[in-house]
Amino acid sequence: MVTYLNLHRTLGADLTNEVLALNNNWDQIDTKTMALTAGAPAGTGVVAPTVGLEVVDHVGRNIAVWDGATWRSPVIETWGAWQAITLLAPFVAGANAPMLRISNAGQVEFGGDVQNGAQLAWPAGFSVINQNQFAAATYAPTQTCVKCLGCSPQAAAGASRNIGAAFVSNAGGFLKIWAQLSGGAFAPNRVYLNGLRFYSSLVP
Amino acid sequence: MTTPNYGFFLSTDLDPMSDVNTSLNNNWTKVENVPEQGVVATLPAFDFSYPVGSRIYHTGYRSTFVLLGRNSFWGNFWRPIQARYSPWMQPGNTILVDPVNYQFGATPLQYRISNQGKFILRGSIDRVAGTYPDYGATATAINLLQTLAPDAGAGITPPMTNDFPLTPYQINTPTVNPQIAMMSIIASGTSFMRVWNPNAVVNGLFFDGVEWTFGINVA
Repeated sequence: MVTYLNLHRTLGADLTNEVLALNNNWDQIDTKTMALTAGAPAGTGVVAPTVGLEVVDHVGRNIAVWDGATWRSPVIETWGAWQAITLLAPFVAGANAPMLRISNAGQVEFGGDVQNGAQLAWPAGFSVINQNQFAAATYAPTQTCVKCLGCSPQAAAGASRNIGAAFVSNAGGFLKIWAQLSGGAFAPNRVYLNGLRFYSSLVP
Repeated sequence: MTTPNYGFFLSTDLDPMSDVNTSLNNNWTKVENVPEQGVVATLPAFDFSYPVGSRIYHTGYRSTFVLLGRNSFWGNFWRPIQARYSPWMQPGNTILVDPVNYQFGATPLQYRISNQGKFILRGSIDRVAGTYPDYGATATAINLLQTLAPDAGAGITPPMTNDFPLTPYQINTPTVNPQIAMMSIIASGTSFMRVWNPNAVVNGLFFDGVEWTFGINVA
């Protein structure tokens, strides 16, 4: 809080209080304007930074913040390599093997497609097609996720498309899928995972 | 006269000390009005005392957050600078247009904002009783969620009207006959989120996968 001056009152007398008020206010200016003015690489020349202090890193062309141990720059999300998924019977890989990948910001994304190995209609009700395959528990989903998926009959994959849904839960079986049961010759027994994502508890 | 450490506006010989209120205290007021960056463990969701443009440091996410704007239903919109994503924010029933007939599902509706300007939804909204109205029968979209238009600051609506597919389900029987519903987010000052339900079978809707880049000229 700024302390205001009234020099009328004390002009010519002891100015100690005014000096104190002034210097406190200079300190406030210093605190507020120091952020974004320091050098690069991030933090160069900043002595004893406080947590939350920001600086402009004009080499990295971004704004870094002091987290108490290091200068942290904005996270750019990058994805790890695609990993194979182990399917539970009776499900098998479709035309494109189902896979997943993990980002450095805690996202998990699926791709490829899964089909019922017996080429029968997708089983009524949800089916567990794989279990939690993550070595790190931090990648378990923080909330059950449900999302629309495409599905089709294997025998005529281009002829008929239906709507399925994926169910991602961190309880019990990990990824469960159910599909619209249209019946007849075009009953879906292949489900496409592309675009299915969930968010883990990893703090990004 | 100057101090060793600070340079400020120099007084001229004609400045009487009685002008201190004009020349100095007014400047203190300006300094005081500059938002001071605080350090928090939880983002203030509905504390509207923060002026738009405030910067705050979140210890858990190790990141500065900038207050883009606020909305009386959704609360403060904090955009991260260093962290890739903000924490999941859960505004509560205030975002429901009709909280008598709709409620959050077992996975409540939440949102978060990315450091590249994306607004991301997840979770579900259920009917309190019965099923979602059948659009085929009523030809009326459901005004489900309150406007995202800001009371102050920048909005987080998309730069144009966006339509998204939603996943409907039946409470306690999620395995039966998945359909597809639609959600439209209308980018106008009086925007609201509408949903279209294809039939009267389902009584819950999931919003997972709904995300958009808000504003304009965002890379």
